[in-house]
Formats: sequence, structure tokens, C-alpha cells
Amino acid sequence: MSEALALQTELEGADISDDASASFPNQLRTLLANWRLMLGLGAVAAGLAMMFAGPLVVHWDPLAQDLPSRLKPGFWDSHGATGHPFGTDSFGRDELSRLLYGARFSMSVAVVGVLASGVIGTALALCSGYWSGWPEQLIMRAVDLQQALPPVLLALLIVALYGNSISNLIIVLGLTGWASYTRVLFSQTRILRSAEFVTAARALGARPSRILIRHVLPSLMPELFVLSSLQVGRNLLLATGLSFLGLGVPIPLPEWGSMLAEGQRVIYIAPWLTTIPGLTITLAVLAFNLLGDGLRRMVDPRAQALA
Amino acid sequence: MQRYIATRLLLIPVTLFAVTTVVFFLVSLSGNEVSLLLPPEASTADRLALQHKLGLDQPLPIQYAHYLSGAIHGDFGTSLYYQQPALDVALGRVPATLELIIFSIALAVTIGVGLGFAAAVMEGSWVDALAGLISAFGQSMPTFGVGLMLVLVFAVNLRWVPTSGSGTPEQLVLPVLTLAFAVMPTIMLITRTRMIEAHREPYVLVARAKGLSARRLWIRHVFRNGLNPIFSAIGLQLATLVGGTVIVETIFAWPGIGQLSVEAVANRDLPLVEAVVLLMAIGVVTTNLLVDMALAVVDVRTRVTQRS
Repeated sequence: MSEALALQTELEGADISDDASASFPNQLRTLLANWRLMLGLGAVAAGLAMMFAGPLVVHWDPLAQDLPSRLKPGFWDSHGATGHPFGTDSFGRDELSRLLYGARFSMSVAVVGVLASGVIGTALALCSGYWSGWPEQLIMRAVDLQQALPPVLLALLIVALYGNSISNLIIVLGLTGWASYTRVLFSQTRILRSAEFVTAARALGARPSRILIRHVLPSLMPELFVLSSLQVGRNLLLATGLSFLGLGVPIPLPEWGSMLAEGQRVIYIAPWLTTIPGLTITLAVLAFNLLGDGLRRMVDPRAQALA
Repeated sequence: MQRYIATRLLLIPVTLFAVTTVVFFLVSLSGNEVSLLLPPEASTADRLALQHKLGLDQPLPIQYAHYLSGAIHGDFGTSLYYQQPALDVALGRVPATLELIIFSIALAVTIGVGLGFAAAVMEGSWVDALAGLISAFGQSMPTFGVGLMLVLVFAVNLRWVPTSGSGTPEQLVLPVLTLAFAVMPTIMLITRTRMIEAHREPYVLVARAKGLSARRLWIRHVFRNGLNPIFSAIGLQLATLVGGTVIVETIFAWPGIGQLSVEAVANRDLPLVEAVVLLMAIGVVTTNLLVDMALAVVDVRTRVTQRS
């Protein structure tokens, strides 16, 4: 409760100071000074551009095998295969085009997983934050339990029962990612529940569903964006990890995690098949983490104070 | 205080019940337990016979009661691959995993708390910048990527340690480093934040006004006060750590429960998967609650607030 109060006073305090520096050039300067946000935005934009435009430039079919020219190094080696800047894998498939097409699988799985967990987590947060009592107790204990459990356990069960597929992977991401949304948005909803505009809406006779969706939810949007950006990074790590274990996107589809698993088998003769996808995953996750961190510093003055 | 511990203790069976219930319904909702246990060419008569033998022709509540009583007695069925009680197979792999986890957590806490503390004391210095860089990259690197990178450098290129396997101390090095790195950046980040927060408390001002040296202030006052929330945060890292063992044990062929879990899925050994998943879930949840309780007992502040 004391934390909630502190946050509330801080929010009120922020309103006042905002008025003083609300002129556009000031806001722009603050925004540009947030290098995490700028770098994250730039990197995400660049990554998305490569993902969409890459296949227009690289003409190799990511599934086309070419056994005679397998395991050829890329541009760094004078004996490298021509036309394969990142070399070829153990089936002679072009590594660069597999990375570019793989981005589509890894990214879309991560983003759809974020949508799923975001919807579940936000709905539960709104309910538990608005109605205290047993729904709150039940939901918050479920959050505790969910956050204590490694997501891989659910993945193991689901794959053992239903096999591995892209949709099952998304289900795993959605069912394991909601708790962080609920935990953060719950306390915000608790504060907003007693805000004046909510009381006003209630006095006008608005139903709880209308209050929650029209009045409370819009105020949660900044937090929702921060959480979602960080969640994309988390999902990318989890999804590629599960694919690495053979529990995610089924082979031979190009996916960054399963590409690493294939790379591990030839780590002695073709180390680039391990380093390049590993680096790609790291950079992609880093981009979304920076974006999320930058957004958080923008919305939460307390995070900025601790920087 | 007693009440706090009592509710925590009560939470253990409640959570175990919740976890087993979720697993039961996931398995029974799939509805294809029998076809997973039998080869595809099995006849309808075989299917019905197995269904009857497993009690799957009973109504769901009765199946559930059977399942729960089995779980309480430690009976999770027979592993299809090992032809032994699934729980025994799973338990046999626990020591290897514990070895990995204990060494990793010791390493991660030593480096994470040490570096985080140093970064807080020297806020804004190059140490702080280095810590920030490590945490940014560390939290963005996939565990399997870190593991394979270590293999590439220390096993393939330098040949200091073997790539995989278990039994010798050298074989412990890379798995422990990889697993420690999975949680170290977060521990470091939390330590830094907590220490900086603790340093802004009014008592620090009082201590400084008394003329306490900076070293004494940081070590005797800030560090000790900031330590407790750090340890409860480390308890939460247990989930990451156990999830990490699945990947680390797969990379390094470490014969623990994580490797067994992936192997069981590949072998389509459903009873073993269930046993392994339940065992890991129960282990993590119980340890977390015990850590919570231990911290509450140790911390004077919770003792006081609980009383009032």
C-alpha cells in the first residue's frame, strides 16, 4: 500500500512538473536524450526492414538444398562459396536467406505470443484490481505460481501431448507470459480504481465493464507498451530456446533456435553456423529490451531517477 | 510471525495440488493419451483394453481422484522407455542437476552481488558502465547461445576443457559458467538498484552526519540493509535456473533431469514427461516458499511488521 501511495504522489507530482516543461522543443529534447529509446527504435526498425525487404535482395530459397556446396564459409574466407555471404549450412542451404526467412518465424511467433499473453494478463489485472476480495486473491496466487514455474515445463507437456507446431509454441508463450502483465497492471488498476474520473463515471451509472475498458484501460496504455516491448524480447529468447530443444518451430523451417541446434552438430568444422544465428538472436532481443527500457524511462520518472 | 509461517506452510500443499491439477487436466483434455502410449498400428481392441487398464473409461472426476491418490503415493505410472516407475527414473537424475544448480547459483551470486555492489558504490564510474553493459547483453543473450559460444572458445579453439559429458571437474566448468550467466546479470542489476535505493535512506544521512567513513557506511549499513530483498529476488531466479538446466544439460550432455525431460519428449514417454514436469515444478515452488520463510525468519523488519 505504501508503495502504491508513493507512486500516486509521484504521478501527481509529475503532472505539475510536466506543465512547466511541456513545450514541444523541451519534450523533443528529452525524447532525443533518451538514447536507449532511440537506439532501440532504430534497431527494431532496421531489423523489421531487413525482415521484409531482405528476401527481395537475397534470392536463395531457404529450403533449397545443394549438397555439393555444403558447409562453405562466407565472405570472410577466400575459399567461401560465391553468392553466399554468410556461407552455407550442412545441407548447402544459404545461411543468410535462412536467417532472413527465419526472422519471420521467430518474430511473428514472439509478437503473436505477446498479443495472447497481453490480452489474458491485462484482463486478469483489470478484474483483480477492480474487484478486491477472492478474485484478487485467486488471481494473484496464480500469478505467484506462474512466475515461480519455468515456462519450459508447460512446453514439455504440450509438445509431449500434441507435438510441436507453431501454434502450440504460441500457446506456450501466451500461457506463460501473462503473469508479468497482471502483476504490473494490477497495482496500477488498484490506484486508478479510486481516481476521481472513475468515481465520476461510476456516479454517472457506468457499468464496471465500461469503466474498465473506457476509463481505466486507456490510462494503462503506457505501461502496456513498456511491458509488451520487453515481452517481445522475452518471447524471442523463449521461442528460440524451445526450438533449439526441438520443442518449438518444427524443422526444416528456418528458425533461429533450430538453426543453432543444427549448427552445434558441426561446431568443429563450421563454427559460423553457431556464431551467426546466436549473434542475430542476441541483437534482436537487445533491440527490444532497449526499446522497452527506453519507453519505461519515458513513462516512469522513478526508473529515470535510478539510471 | 507464527501466522506468517503457517500460511506459507499451508501454501505448499495448496500449490502442489494446483500444479498436479493443471497437469492432470492438460493430459486428459488432450484426449489422446491412449494413442500416445500405443503404436499407431494398434487395433481398436488393444486401445479399449489399455483404456480400461488405465481407468480412462471411467468418468473424469473418478479419473481425477485416482490420479491425485497416485500422485500422493508417488505413483506417476511406468516409464515406457525405461520400463521402471517414472518417479524413480526422474529422481535418479536429480543429484546431477542439483550439483549443477548449486555451483551455478554460488558463482552467480558471488559475481552478481559483488559486481552490483561495486557498481552501486561507484555509481557513474567505468565499473558501473561495465556492469550496465554486462546486464544489457547478458539479459539479451540466449542461454544456448552463451553455452555454444563457450564451447567454441574454450573447448574447440583453446581445448582447455571437454565439450560435453560429466564425471570430471573439467566437465563441470562450461555448464556451470553457462547456467550462472543465465541469472547473474539479473542478480547484478537488482543488487545495484537495491543498494542505490538503500543508500538514499535517511539513516544513511544520519550515519554520515555521525562521521562514519564511507567504507564502513556502505558495508555495515547499506549492504546489510539491502541484502534481504536481493535474496528474495534470487529465489525468483530459481525458475530461470531450472529452465536453464534443460538447455544447458542438453548442450553439454549432462545426465540430469533437464536432459531427461527433453529425451522423454523425444521418446514420446508420456508418464516420464509428467513425472519430470511435476517433480521440477514441485521442487521450484517448494524451494521458493521455503526461501521466503527463511528470509522472513531472518529479517527483523518482517518480524516487527507481522507483530503490529
